Amino acid sequence: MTVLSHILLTTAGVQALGLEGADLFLAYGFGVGVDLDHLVKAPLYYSKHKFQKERHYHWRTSLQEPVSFLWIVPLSIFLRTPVPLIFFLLHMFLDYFMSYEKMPFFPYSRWKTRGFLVSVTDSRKEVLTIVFLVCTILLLLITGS
Amino acid sequence: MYNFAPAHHRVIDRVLRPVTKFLHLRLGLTPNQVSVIGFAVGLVAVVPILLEEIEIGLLLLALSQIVDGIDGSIARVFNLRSRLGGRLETIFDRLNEFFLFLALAIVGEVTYTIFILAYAAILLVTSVKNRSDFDPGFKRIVLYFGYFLGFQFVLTLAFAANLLGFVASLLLLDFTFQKEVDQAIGASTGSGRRREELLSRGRSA
Repeated sequence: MTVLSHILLTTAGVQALGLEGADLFLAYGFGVGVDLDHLVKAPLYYSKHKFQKERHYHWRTSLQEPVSFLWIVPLSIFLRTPVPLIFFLLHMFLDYFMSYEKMPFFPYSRWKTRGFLVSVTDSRKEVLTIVFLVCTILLLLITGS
Repeated sequence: MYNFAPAHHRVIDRVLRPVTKFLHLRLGLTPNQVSVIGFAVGLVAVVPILLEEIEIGLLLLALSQIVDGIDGSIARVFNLRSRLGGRLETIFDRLNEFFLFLALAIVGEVTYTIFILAYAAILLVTSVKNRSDFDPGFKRIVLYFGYFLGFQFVLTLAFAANLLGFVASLLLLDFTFQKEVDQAIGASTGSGRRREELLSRGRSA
């Protein structure tokens, strides 16, 4: 999903759980910041396409795949907070709604999937998600959570 | 460490040449036999640690690491490298670390949590090391610093370094894989579908 959906979902999660301080930083780090992994492939993209747009370029890395639980679970135990785990899970959940190709267990396996609800178009899912999340955030604000 | 190993090995091989010649040519020891001896010495190092004689434990650990260096040197100098030898060395190293870290947890030098976390992080790096060719180190070697800085601190450092090493390995592997895919499918074609075709055919494996 786009960064806007991730920001909205993380914001809703932060509001619902009443997070602040270091937990707030971790929430946005693992809910939104993990998208910075795309930068790793920027030099490759640039050398191939320069500034031309390539819609299906595979920007994802293992840092957004379930294989990352292998390092996020120990990190959460070390930090004694479930926040990284919860917000990473939320980030991944949104990404698996989209139909682009994913390799959940790379580098251990090259098995690939397109996630779930592939019959619905990505743009429709994105719009519905944004509307739902905006309503949720407003509801949380109104009820004072 | 990434790409530094060959140069580092050449220096070790030159320094250890008289010892490797003696062990292999005079005593007839193979690299795998030397690995077993190093592993045994490393296991013996656990006993003094359990008896809270940390200094003796660290001295034995140093001895086991020297022997650990000799087996690789014999293999390289006499061209006896084998896949089994490499695997044995990794298994022995991980087992040695497990018992050493566990001993430190038993005597209360480190918490069980940091023992498990540090060891898990080391295993994660090991699980991708052959593919990524990257290893941040910070394994048994940190124990020498633990004598001065505290074992809890150095195992925390080992945990952090190896966890970061694992993340770096994942990114490195992703980058390498994407580079292979990009090169294979050429600059002018639509990468998404071609990538899928390529993966399906297993050419990029």
